[in-house]
Amino acid sequence: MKIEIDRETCNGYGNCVIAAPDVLDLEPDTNIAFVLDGHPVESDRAAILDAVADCPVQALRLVDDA
Amino acid sequence: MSTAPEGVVIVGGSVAGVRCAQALRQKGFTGSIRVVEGEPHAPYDKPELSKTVLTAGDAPRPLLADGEAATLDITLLQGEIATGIDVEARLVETSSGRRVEYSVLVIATGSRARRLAAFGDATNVHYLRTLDDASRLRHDITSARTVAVVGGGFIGGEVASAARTMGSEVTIVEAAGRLMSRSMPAEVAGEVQGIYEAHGVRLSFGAAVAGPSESSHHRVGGIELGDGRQVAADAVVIGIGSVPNTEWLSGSALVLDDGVVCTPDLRAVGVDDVYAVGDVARIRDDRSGVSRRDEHWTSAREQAAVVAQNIVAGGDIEFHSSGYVWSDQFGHRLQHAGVCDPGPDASVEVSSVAGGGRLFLHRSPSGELMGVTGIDAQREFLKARRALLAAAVGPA
Repeated sequence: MKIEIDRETCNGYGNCVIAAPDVLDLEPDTNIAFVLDGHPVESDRAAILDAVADCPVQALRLVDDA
Repeated sequence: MSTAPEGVVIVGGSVAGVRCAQALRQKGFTGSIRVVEGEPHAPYDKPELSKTVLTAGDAPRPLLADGEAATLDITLLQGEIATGIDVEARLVETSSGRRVEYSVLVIATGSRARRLAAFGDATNVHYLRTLDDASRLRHDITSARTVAVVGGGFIGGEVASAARTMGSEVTIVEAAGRLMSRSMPAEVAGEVQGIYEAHGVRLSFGAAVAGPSESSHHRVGGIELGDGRQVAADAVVIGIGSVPNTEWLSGSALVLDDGVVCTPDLRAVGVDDVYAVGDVARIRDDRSGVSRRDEHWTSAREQAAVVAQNIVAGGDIEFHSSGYVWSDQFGHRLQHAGVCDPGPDASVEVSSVAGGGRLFLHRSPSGELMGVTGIDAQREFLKARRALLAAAVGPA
């Protein structure tokens, strides 16, 4: 499982960080979302799905390993 | 009691309705899901309607990805306007004469723009709610030398921003003495006013709209104010709030009062197995005495998740709003979370952040953090929003 972040689309709203605070944060300089070290892990799934749904610009995607 | 129902019907295919359908599947619901949507377009997201749909003619983002409705087995009844409900027989009647049976009903019919009757249906008077509204407005702004925006709220500001970007002269007409008088304290409004002035927007405060100035051939020449002043405009945009779409429910056992009245778990009062989400839901909390509609994108998404959970698990999880709203105008990012006192006695702590932004912390009379507003202060805002969530107390 991995999280794809569209850096062109991400606009720093921060909803994903509120939905999944253990998994995502905003880069200090750009306010673009990034995945915290050691994540995602399977137990993050529900929070990540909330984060994906909460993004106002659909910049996040959860991609399962093929 | 916790046996999942067979068929859910969701009336309304905007963000609240569609996100509810998706959340039902995410939480393992296996029954049928049908979404009744009156608009002819595939479900789309609305925040961009007042932004890039106007300035660039962009298509709004679809709420369902390509093939997602099929993958999730969500049936869209497109172009079907709900016209009535029979709660005894558990069915929704639609404009085509269809009768759609439900085990559980989710009402997500949203709201429409409040209209000013004096402007009738003049072709250059606009309300912004749907993609078709946005397309017509874009067409008109493209050729308009002057645009008048009635209402100094977020929508008005975004339309003003779009119209300035497209080269029009813009006047915002606000009946109150300042911007956002019912939603934000004066400190925030003053900062926003400074942005508007820096971008050459004219502001008219303190006089209500009396009606259109001279009209001919279904077009108005502008706005006449209550004090006799005239604001000439090639296009008029009215953004003065919304009216929930509940007419189709009148005469039923549902309790209607500027929205569908629900308990905090979003169950409609008066009828079993009916929920409401989004703009149309009026949540009445008898313990706190609070009654409100949350007309925001983030609330719609949060409510959709709560309703899906309650349907799937037969539970009574309550909705607690994060109160998050955002607005992008004139290249600036406005964000707000929580609540604030818009009155003159509000306690607001203002600070400047690196890069020229501002952060406003709203405190209760006893000093607790109640809400936060940021202008170009994403990181600081996010930090305060997290503190606000951490401080939130009360039953989970």
